[in-house]
Amino acid sequence: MSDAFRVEVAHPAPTTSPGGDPGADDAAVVVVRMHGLLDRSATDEMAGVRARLVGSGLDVLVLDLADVHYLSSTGIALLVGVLAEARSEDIEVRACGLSDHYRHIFELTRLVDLMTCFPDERSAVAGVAPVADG
Amino acid sequence: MAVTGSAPPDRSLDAPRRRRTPVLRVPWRARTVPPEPSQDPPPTAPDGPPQVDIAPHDPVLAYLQTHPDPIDLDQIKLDTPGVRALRDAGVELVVPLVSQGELIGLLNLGARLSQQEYTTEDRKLLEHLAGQAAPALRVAQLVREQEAEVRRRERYEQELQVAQLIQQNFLPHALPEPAGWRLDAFYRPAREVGGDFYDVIALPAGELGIVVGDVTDKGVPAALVMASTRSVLRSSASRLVEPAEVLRRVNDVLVEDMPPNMFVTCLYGVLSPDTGRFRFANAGHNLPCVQTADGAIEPRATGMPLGLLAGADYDETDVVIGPGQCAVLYSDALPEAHGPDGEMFGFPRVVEVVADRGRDQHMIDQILTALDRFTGPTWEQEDDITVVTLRRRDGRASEATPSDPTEHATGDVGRVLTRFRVRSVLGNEREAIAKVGDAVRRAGGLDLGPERTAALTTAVGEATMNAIEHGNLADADLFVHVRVAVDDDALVVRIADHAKGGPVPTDVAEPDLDAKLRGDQSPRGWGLFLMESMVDDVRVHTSPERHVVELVMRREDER
Repeated sequence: MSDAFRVEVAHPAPTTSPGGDPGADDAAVVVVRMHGLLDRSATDEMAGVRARLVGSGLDVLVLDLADVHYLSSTGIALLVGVLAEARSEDIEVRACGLSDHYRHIFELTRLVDLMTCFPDERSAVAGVAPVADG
Repeated sequence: MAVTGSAPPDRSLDAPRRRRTPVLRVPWRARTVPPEPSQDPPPTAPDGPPQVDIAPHDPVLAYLQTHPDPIDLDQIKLDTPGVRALRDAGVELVVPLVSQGELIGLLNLGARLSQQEYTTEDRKLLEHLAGQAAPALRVAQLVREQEAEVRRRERYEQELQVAQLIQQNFLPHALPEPAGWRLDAFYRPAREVGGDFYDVIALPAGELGIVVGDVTDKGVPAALVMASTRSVLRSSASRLVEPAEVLRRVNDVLVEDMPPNMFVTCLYGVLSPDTGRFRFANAGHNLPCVQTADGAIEPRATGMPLGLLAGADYDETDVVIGPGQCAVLYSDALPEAHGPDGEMFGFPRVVEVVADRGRDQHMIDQILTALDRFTGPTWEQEDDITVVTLRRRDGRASEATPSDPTEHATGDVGRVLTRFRVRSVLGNEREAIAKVGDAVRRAGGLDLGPERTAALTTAVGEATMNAIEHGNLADADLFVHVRVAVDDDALVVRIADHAKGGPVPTDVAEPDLDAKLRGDQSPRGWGLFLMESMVDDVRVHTSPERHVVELVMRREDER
């Protein structure tokens, strides 16, 4: 397992989810899977993610952090940058794959107010079964 | 027909019994792994055929391995105990079970019920059957070996934890601080915990009994002997005055119950803080190393290790630790550490390091730095390392500012779990995270669960990053010093830098997420907030030369 940060962008097939958001079927969803250390070393990759959002016409951005082994305050700043971009592009952000520790950090930093947390990528893409807050 | 190796009977071999079929138990795999001695013989039906054991070195096994076809016992022209045993059991035809060139069992057949010879057809069928059965039997054997291995490993891990727990419980959580002195201890267990221990015992008239010892052997037995040695020492030290007398008494008590092949090396001394006099006796342990005006000496006292011989006698020596000087007591793992080329660190190097006063470092740090440099980064610690230092302050004002930036002049209590330093290069905070996490997990018995440990290491990462970036302005020639210590109440991580970037802001407001999102505030600025949120307390000490950030985790199960 390499520590170098990288992202992998996936376009999930449209899903039909009876319990999901109305219109979720045809929403434009992109999944960004993050791997490695989300700290200063992730700056360029995260700037790339941010740039991708501009004018993308996306509805939903799913951030999968299941394979992030370290999140520093710099990493949080990078996430905030992506969230700010998403907000100005009117893209809904969902997060998944957070360990309890990182979830706790997301709560402390109030990042959870800006993205719904899901247990895994599938539920995040479908937009159902969010993790209960708190 | 039944077949056994040491594996459970294989269902596929439970064919209808048309012939009398004695079971042969071959000590299989004689070539490599001997069968587990504790293993019960495979179950046989009470009315089943007799079992035949053949010793692993019986020549018949080598013969059968090279003749994998069914063979009449009469044709084997060997007279060995194995062949005789087979004959006695009424075996007429032997079918070797060979898997990948290795004999793993035998199919043994008695006379046909019809009393006729085995036909060529029969033999073909049996050979075919053996070809099928052998791999299946081998798989069963491997599964069993695998299971036994897993059990062994689990047991080993459990024992490791118990040993650590005993060890941690009997090491002092805090050292006394006699006026004008500074006592420090460093203990780092090897993965397979050895039997190192140290202790400081308060004696009448303000004197202190100082103990450093090492039990031969490792794991739980060593930890138990260490625990009992410690209590015998404590009770003897409080009743007797002279160190030699104390060791004599301890030896006589221990020798009674010492397990065979175990003994304890131990140095016991009495420190008189007023005069600096340290008189000690030695039971086969390393000599102390004491700084003098022009170097360092190893005052000598000899004696047998404890627990070997009843009535052993011990020398006593005394030495005076002068103002501003330091005595170092240590365990074997220090001089016996190996460098990458196999060379040992050795006593002369210990003396050299202790004598060297040119460094702007705490003595324990100085020793560990020298050791690190000698062993190189890939070294796996071979044994527990214990170092105890007795430093007499020199009474001058400068003594109030100790050289190690993670040290405070007073009020330092607790056991140091680790000390290290990282160069001020961004990214090195991850090294700090790994080392602190490792020290905390290794220490055991701290009541700090995985969640709290994760929170602590996140805070360590943030504090170290700040120290690298702001405190030392990412100057690679400067170091960030980290020290992890624990006392009865709390675990404290101290992170010190050279304060090159001005004072540390102390009031931490929650960053305004909305302002950051609007772009009115830098997206950064989470570090201090995160640190404050992760640990129970953050204390910042600032002076023109250094910042020290203390991260405090209280030792309760849950907040």
